[in-house]
Amino acid sequence: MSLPYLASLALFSIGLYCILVKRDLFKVIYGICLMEFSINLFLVSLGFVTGGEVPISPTGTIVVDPLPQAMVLTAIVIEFATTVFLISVAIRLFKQYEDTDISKMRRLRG
Amino acid sequence: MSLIMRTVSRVLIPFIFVYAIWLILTGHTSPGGAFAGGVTVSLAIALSYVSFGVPLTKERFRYSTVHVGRILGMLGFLVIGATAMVLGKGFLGNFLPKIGGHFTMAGVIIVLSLCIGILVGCEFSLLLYYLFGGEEG
Amino acid sequence: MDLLMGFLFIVIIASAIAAVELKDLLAAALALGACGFFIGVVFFLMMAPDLAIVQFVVETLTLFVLVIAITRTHRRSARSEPVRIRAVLGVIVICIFLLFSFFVIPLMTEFGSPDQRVSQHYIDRGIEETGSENLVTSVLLDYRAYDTLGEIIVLFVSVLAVSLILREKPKGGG
Repeated sequence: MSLPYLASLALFSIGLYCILVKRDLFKVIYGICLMEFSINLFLVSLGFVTGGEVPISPTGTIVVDPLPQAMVLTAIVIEFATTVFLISVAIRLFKQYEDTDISKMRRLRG
Repeated sequence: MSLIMRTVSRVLIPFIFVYAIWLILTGHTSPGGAFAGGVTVSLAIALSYVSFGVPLTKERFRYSTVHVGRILGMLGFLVIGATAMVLGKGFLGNFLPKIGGHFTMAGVIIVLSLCIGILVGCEFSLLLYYLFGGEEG
Repeated sequence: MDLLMGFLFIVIIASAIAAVELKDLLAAALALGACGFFIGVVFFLMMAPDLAIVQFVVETLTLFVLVIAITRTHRRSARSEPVRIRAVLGVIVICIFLLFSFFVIPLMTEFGSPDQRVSQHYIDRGIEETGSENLVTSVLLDYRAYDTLGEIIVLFVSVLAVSLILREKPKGGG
């Protein structure tokens, strides 16, 4: 049963829909956050072993894979930093255009 | 904020710092680790911003202190890596004594996680500092 | 276990849809935070307590930063409706994506029985080689410390970029 794969797929689709359709900058940031959640969930569920132990001083032989967990641990922190970067860009654009609607930002069009 | 909030956070913030230090220093034997500890430090500073207001917090956790901590964390990480390279272990190798089994001594891992904890805490505190609208001060 | 996880996934997807569709930006931020916290619970059920702690803490801080930013931009709700052409385009792109993924998912390893060729070494010899009982920390700070170095460089640079963007009085034309 690959329920977590399907769940992360659905979450990724929701985030993609949010980025493509919504016009508010904060909604776009929420969509990026949702896609990050789905990727983290997908990577962690790739390393899960049925009936496995926590990888902290294991006693048995069946242990959950520690490698994706370490990678996702770094990814979560980086995602927070990039999210704050996007938020600061949104604040800066609001100061310039008095709005966070993407279609109002005329000067962005090339 | 209100008096209740200020009183509660005056009691709570030192305990949050203690919890963060515990998370950083026991990351090699229990769940937690340097990243969680560092983010917890910045959560304490966020609570201070909400309850004590922006000017008082900016006076208590100065820009220069946070900046120096951030650079110290980065430099410590790099210097330890280079020291391992000088001692012939490869960059970021584990050159301090280490014991496996039930009584563990993780060698260089504790020092590295201390550096990362300081670095992450200072980085995110600096993010909060800029987000609350701060020039030099 | 399976039933609990299925229930959690239903809650996660419902709160994600709420975060996308709610008009009020603060309420949508709260829905996003709920989604993140439930994902932390799923991490805990998948035997990753380190990740659960980090996810909880980071999600709290993200929610804090989002609320500060939304109150600073003085506009609480997204009032504009999506343009119909963009919506149709989005649905088409998502359909292509889903079609692609339904062909890929049967090719992946079954959930719960991964291929552990690299990690078997870490699990067998990790505690003796690094002295760290927590294998996640031993991977993070000993076997793959280069990744951590790259990560803290990314943190450093992103804080630098935020400090450049959020200056109070921009010099020059801006």
